[in-house]
Amino acid sequence: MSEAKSSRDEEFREFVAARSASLHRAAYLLTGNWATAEDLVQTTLTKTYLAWGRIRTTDSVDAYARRVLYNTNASWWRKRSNRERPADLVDDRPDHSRDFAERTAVRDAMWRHVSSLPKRQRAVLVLRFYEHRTDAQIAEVLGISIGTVKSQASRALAGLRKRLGSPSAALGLGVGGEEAA
Amino acid sequence: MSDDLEHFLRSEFAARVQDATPPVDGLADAAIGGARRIRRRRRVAAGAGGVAAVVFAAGAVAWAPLTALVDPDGPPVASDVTAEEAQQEFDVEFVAERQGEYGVINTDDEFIPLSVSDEPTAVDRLAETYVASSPETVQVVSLDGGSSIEYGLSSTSEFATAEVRSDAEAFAVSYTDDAYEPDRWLYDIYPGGIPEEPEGPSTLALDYSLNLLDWNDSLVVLSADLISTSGGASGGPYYFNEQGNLGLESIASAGYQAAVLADYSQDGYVCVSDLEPGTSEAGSEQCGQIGDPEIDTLLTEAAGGDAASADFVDEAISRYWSVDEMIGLPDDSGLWDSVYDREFNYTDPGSQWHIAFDPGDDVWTLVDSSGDEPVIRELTPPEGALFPVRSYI
Repeated sequence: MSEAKSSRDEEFREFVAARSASLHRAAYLLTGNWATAEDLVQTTLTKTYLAWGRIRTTDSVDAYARRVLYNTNASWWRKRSNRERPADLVDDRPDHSRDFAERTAVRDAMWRHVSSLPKRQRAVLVLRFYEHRTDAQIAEVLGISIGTVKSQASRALAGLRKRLGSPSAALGLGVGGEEAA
Repeated sequence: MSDDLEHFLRSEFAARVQDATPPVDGLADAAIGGARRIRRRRRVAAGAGGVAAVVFAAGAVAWAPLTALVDPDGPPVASDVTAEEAQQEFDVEFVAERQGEYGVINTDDEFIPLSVSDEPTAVDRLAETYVASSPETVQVVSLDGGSSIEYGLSSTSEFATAEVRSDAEAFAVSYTDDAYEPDRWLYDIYPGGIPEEPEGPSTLALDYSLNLLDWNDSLVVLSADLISTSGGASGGPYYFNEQGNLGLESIASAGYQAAVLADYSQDGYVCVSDLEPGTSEAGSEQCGQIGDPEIDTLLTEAAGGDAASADFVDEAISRYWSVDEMIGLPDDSGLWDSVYDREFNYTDPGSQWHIAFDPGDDVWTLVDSSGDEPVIRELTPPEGALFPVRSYI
């Protein structure tokens, strides 16, 4: 192996060591299970290495990998189980119980609601509420307009609100929100 | 309420992953290995567009003299091969740099200038021309070097490579988009000759997961993962393009009448998209096994009545599977390290040879497939040789 190639590979290994955990976590939030998340990260890193020669000297390597991650997830139709919508989620509406087990169940229900969102809406939520990105940054990562970011976020939040009512109420942390049916 | 929900999402997302310890070991090497396999596959696939690819039966390759390192009791040492012998026995042409100029050393030992200022990344011989690829341009040069035309690429990429149509009458340059569209491979399609009034290329913008196998004037054949969704079932409609954002509409925009997706795990299983040429839309697909009357009829109709379409697709798929056999060499044969992990690999589209070497090597490795049994030989390239020309005629 040539010296230049070896050096390039070493740089890539250092990048993976520094950033793969973060990519894994985002991938998990996007896909909902760790096995699929690992597949997604591996694919992302493979694509990133393919472009390594032209991006390694830029300051946007992480942004590139992140964009690959989100766009690869959006285009994956092989993992069809990720697309399956959960069973009738309306039954999961909160009952204001303060019991820990029930609170856990409500949180799980919340997670299932997030998991059931269309991929782009979910990606917007992960970028905004986990990665704390601005709308402009989200637009850049997903390759969509800022207006689309806002509308996707709005729809996602409205959908969650409709299903859950107030989270604080759902978790028994406060008063308000919609009453359970 | 909105603040509640947003706060909840923040805490829920963080809680879901806070204790996670994702695996790190081996990730980088797996990615590097995967990427190299993709590059190798693209190189080999690009080199197999014309005719059947070199096929090695597992364990049947005579490996000499390097075989001795792997198996002292292995087959006898094959003779070395000189540049002249390679030119005469295998019709190998070489790209070379001589006196600061890049050109082709043809089988008559003539130096044909390529009219390029920088070293090309690959040179292919088509029916009437040489095509010299570089990251920024493609130079099409007549076989005597007397005329040429240069095409500038719309985006630069170190992975830009020409893929030649099976009739050697056209070629496509594939590259990634520097505007950060990582899921798209762009294919600029050009005529193989030197037109008097050149036009811009027709461009296909396809999902990264697809590989261009071959095309003619009416249809485009690509490899794809179909089985994991369809299970190999016949019929339809399926919505691979819509669900996978594959970009088949760009094939319609480029004026083709049909796109054929060939599964990369089940030989002969295809899904056909009947396109409206000139539009920017692609509808659903119908799937089935090539050779079934129903799917063959569908192919003919989709390709505007071209009855040879099913055979054309079948041949493209056959070549693709031959390539699969070639790159599926057994790991313990020693071939992988000694041939396919070399920096440069070139496969003769005519199935006679495969050449591999590392930068600076004075002697190259040549897999001689001209006989009944492939034999590995050492090739001394001509002075100034950079790499071999891939010939599609």
